[in-house]
Amino acid sequence: MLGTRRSTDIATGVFLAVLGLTAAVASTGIDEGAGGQLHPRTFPMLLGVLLVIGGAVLAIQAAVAKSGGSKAIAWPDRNGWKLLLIAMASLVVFVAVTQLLGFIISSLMFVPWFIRYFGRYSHLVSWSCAIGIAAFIYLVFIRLLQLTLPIGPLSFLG
Amino acid sequence: MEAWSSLLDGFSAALSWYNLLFALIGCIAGTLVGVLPGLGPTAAIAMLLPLATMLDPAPAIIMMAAIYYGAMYGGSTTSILVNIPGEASSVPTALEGYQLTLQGRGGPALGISAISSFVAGTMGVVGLTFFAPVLARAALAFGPPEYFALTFLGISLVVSLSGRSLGKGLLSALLGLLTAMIGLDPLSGVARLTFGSYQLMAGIDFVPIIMGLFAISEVLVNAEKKTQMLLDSKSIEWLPTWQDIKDTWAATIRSGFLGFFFGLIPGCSPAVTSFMAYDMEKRFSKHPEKFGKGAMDAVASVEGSNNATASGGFVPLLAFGIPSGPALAVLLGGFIMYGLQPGPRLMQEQPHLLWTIIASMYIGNVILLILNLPLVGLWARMALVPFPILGPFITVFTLIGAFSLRYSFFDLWVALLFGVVGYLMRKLEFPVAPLVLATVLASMMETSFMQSITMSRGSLLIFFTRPISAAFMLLTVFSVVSGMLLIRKAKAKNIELEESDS
Repeated sequence: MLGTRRSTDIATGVFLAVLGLTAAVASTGIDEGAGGQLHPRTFPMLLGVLLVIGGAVLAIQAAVAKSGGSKAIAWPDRNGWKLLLIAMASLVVFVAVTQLLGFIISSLMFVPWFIRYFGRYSHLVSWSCAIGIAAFIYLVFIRLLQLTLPIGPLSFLG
Repeated sequence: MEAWSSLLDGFSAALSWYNLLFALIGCIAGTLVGVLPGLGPTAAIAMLLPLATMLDPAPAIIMMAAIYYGAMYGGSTTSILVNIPGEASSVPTALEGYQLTLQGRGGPALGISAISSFVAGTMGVVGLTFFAPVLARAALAFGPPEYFALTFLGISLVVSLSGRSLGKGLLSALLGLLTAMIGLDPLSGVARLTFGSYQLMAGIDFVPIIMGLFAISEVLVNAEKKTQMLLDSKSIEWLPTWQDIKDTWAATIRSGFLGFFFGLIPGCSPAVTSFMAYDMEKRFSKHPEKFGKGAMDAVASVEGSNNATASGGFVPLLAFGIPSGPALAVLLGGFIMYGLQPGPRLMQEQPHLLWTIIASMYIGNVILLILNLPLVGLWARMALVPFPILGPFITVFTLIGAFSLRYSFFDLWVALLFGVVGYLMRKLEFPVAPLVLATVLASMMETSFMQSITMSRGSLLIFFTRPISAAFMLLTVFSVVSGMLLIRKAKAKNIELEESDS
């Protein structure tokens, strides 16, 4: 359905117009600040309206264009979609686990999983990389650069 | 003549082993924080302030200054090799440098980046040495209308950054500006577009946006294709050839001038000048069609301008005590910690210290060149690491970089969200650079516009009645018109090529 440039441009234009409209409508609820020549809502509303116009122009231009619209978009194939969704899910889980257990433990889970799934490397390679990255986080970021990174249950190391 | 003898005096102090040691430590630390995405020189200088208290003023300030300009050297590494610009100033480097890496020319790109950083950075220090007091006075003529006109000129670069899809580039910039509106109004403090979320009240910082748009989307694109190697062949070049140096020397010199002069303006960060340098080079280049596909002169120009801006920023700092950006503000804190207030009095009371610091910057640039050039081969090998191993490293370092800016988990989600946005933008052929540029400029643009309008009691004429501001406005018109002409010319050339092919 969204396989050609024409169809994706129409869809993107409509999406951006809706986004702009949402911003413009939300801007009406912005309170008045103290003093100043311009209301705080001026710029968000102006940008929202411009996005509505820009999105509409993109969609209309794509709809009426006589050439170039049939160019195919390089979407992934069925297997590509699967890999993409797995990569996205891995990233979401990585961030969620980081919030709970900190960067070191989440990296020890994420790195070997990613290497094994996308590269089919041995446990030795994947775990060496995971331990290497965990050690780097601890030694460089936490000890040397003194960043207060969350490390969850390993907080005794900090 | 007086400057020469003072400088020689400064060199004799800066070349003592003790000062040299701390210049070296600063250069290494600066390169390290520059290479690690998200970690800027501001945080690094702040972290080393406690160590600095144990030192005399000269080595401490030499070290902190070296971290600042050293970070500019390191910033290009991950941009060129793995498409992670650690900060906004490296975005144009990533646009061209990463394409060069994919062509097996990551090594030469890193080498050219180090050489142009050295040349333009040194040009900046020469400017600082001989013209500081005169130029600093000119920089003080900048008020809100001039800042607005400057950002207006900056935003006009969207035209040339959009390539052939001007409409999509403008939409991309609008999206960036709108994203930057989220949070508190810079003047009145009223919440805007936050939808009741406390996290959105803090605004959306541009660093997680950049991390997502470039690094996370890169991981997604390669995961989708199950890429095993980023490079098709194993043959990569390690160092730039003489031809590369010959091809880029003019771009380096131009970027040195541009970076230094814009660096004089307080608030004009290397991010702004790097985009300007990129645009300027596209106009001067003999082969503008290479831009976006791996233009070596663009890498030289952007990296040169970064470093020259860093040196230029020392002029208002040393002459008047005005920091050009957050990193120099922390450095100013370092001066104050020793009871020193940079400005005309410091120039009279502590000339020896001042000239030692300036001389150390020449030495620091040489140290950085010596430090960075041999590392080029080592870094360039990174492109030979299989993607399934490189991918998780990119992800972890990117997310740590996004987190460490404000220590906020929310920024991690922002980086992921913009990773998906970046992926879609690549697929739908939306240029990413205008979004980044708009996000970087939005706050300064809005604040200076509001202040100007308040100054003029609502009249827009203020932007045209002050000479510097009017000159920038004229330059903006020129930039837009010439940018559009360039696009038309490029389109006509492509049609001609297509016709001759068929």
